[in-house]
Amino acid sequence: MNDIKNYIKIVDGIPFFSKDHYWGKATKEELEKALKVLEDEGWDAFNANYQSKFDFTFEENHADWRFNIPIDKNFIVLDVGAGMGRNSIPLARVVKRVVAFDLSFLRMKFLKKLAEKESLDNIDVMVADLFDIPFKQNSFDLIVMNGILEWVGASDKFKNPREAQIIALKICKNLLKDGGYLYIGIENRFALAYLKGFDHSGLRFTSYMPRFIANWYMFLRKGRHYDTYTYNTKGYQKLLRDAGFGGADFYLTYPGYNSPRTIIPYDNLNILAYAIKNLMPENTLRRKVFKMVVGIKPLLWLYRKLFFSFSIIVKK
Amino acid sequence: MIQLVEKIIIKKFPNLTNGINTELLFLKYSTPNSGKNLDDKVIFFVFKINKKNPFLCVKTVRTYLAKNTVIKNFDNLKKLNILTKNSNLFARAVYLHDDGENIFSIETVCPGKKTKFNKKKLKKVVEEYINFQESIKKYSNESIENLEYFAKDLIKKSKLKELDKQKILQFIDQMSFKDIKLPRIIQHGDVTEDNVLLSKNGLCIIDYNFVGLIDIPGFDLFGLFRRYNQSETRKLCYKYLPEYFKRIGAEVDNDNYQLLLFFYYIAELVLRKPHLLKNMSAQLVISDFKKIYF
Repeated sequence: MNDIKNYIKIVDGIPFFSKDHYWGKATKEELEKALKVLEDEGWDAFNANYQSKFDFTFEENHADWRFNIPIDKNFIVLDVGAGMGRNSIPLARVVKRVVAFDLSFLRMKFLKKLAEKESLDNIDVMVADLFDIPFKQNSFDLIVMNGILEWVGASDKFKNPREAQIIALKICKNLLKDGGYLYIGIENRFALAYLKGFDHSGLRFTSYMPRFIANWYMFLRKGRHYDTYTYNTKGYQKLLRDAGFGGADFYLTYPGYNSPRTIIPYDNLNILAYAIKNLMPENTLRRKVFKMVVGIKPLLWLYRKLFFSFSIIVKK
Repeated sequence: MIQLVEKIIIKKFPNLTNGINTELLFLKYSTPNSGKNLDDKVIFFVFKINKKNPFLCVKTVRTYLAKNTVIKNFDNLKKLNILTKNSNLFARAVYLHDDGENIFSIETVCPGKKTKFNKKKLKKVVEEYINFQESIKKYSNESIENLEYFAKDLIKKSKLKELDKQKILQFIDQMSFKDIKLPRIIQHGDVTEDNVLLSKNGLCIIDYNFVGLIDIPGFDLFGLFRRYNQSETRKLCYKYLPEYFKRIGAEVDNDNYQLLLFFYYIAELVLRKPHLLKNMSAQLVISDFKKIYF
């Protein structure tokens, strides 16, 4: 990827192919301050002050979905919206090169430092926008979209979030080599968790609503459109088909796609039942009852429909 | 990687898989704590379509550089298998694949599930564990007659600072101590609630990383009791260890229990948690022990 020259500028060794757009759990100022601590005082001081402040991690299991893909040491990987490197770092240990890009310069700056700390010299970081990226077609063996597809609709380049998602997937398809893999880590639109917590919109229940109602509701409450679309398995299959992909393999990830400790093939209810009965501890009454309830097949089927998140693997 | 695992299983074990037309399914599993380090294991349960239970368990690591974790676990299991030929207390080691780029081991699957222990379950686990230790005592042809020496040797080899080592050695000297005779019997090294699967047919102990780390009897039971309920460790040791020692042919005077508990306590720190011990002073080591186990 060193042959890419049409960057806007380079700052701290990081090329810019788009404008910097900060996003993240903490404010930009907080991350700036944290990076300063990292530069001036080192990792120990950084960890002591900011261990749980940002969405970075030193854990290696965040890319465990990759065991379902026949990755080899010659793979070139594109990590779309790589953030603070939770997938780039573990992947860089097992492939030839990882190209990681993000809209946020600060997050890329952090990832660059983390890669240096881990002595991984096969990660290229850059500031770029998926809709305006500088790579040639058929460049990558694997493209990672972890927690990204639901956000691409927020781009102001498209009228409709779904259209933005399809274009994003088409871009990825073009960038993949023949036989290459696309990985998507994403939530289930009808996750049980969304009945209790907040959707990506920052509001309750919006993912459950018909899109036009969610849009009105969002407009009333926040003065902007509802643009963070998630889907159920059928919805994702259709989205992928509309982007030109063939069949996809779906996996349930527990506790979530960002920390896939347990990965269960979606199509097999027996395996889901086994995982619940045998691998989850029975340390609370609630869990005991839950384990009994999922022994009833229709309820297990329903539970799968309401599972929190998916790992989706598609081959070009 | 699972594509490679599937290929190997079908090729090497056609009798288990009905040949090349078999499609296998994989359930990936790792514990909350096994994502922190590069040498942590990743586990896959292998299912045949339409089967409710897995028939094989595959263990691998996230990078080939950590291959020793898989090799050690597999070799340790083989050791246990040799000692327990007709027992279902452990999985059976089936196959180790190492092609210089990928490494994984294949074992049989332990039946049962993880369960929160209560007194009754703990008793059952202890009974079966004692049966296991009794059954393998015949392989023991050495015994320990000077536990004090072993305890002191552990301290000397630890990562404690020299001054702290001396203080702990002095503490050991103050303990009452009578004759002891303990056969050397291999310990699992990590018998915890998390590593014991219970089923109608009994129990199965998993995770073989620490097998053989120590062969001083009582180490496993101490660890089991400590993790079950730290404040009751001493009481549980006094309740179960006499029967255990009797069954394995050990001769331990009641006066020696304090030293024994200290030995297990220090052995856990030195062998299992050297990173913690490195930052502990002698005073802290001793006061923690007194607080919990006296």
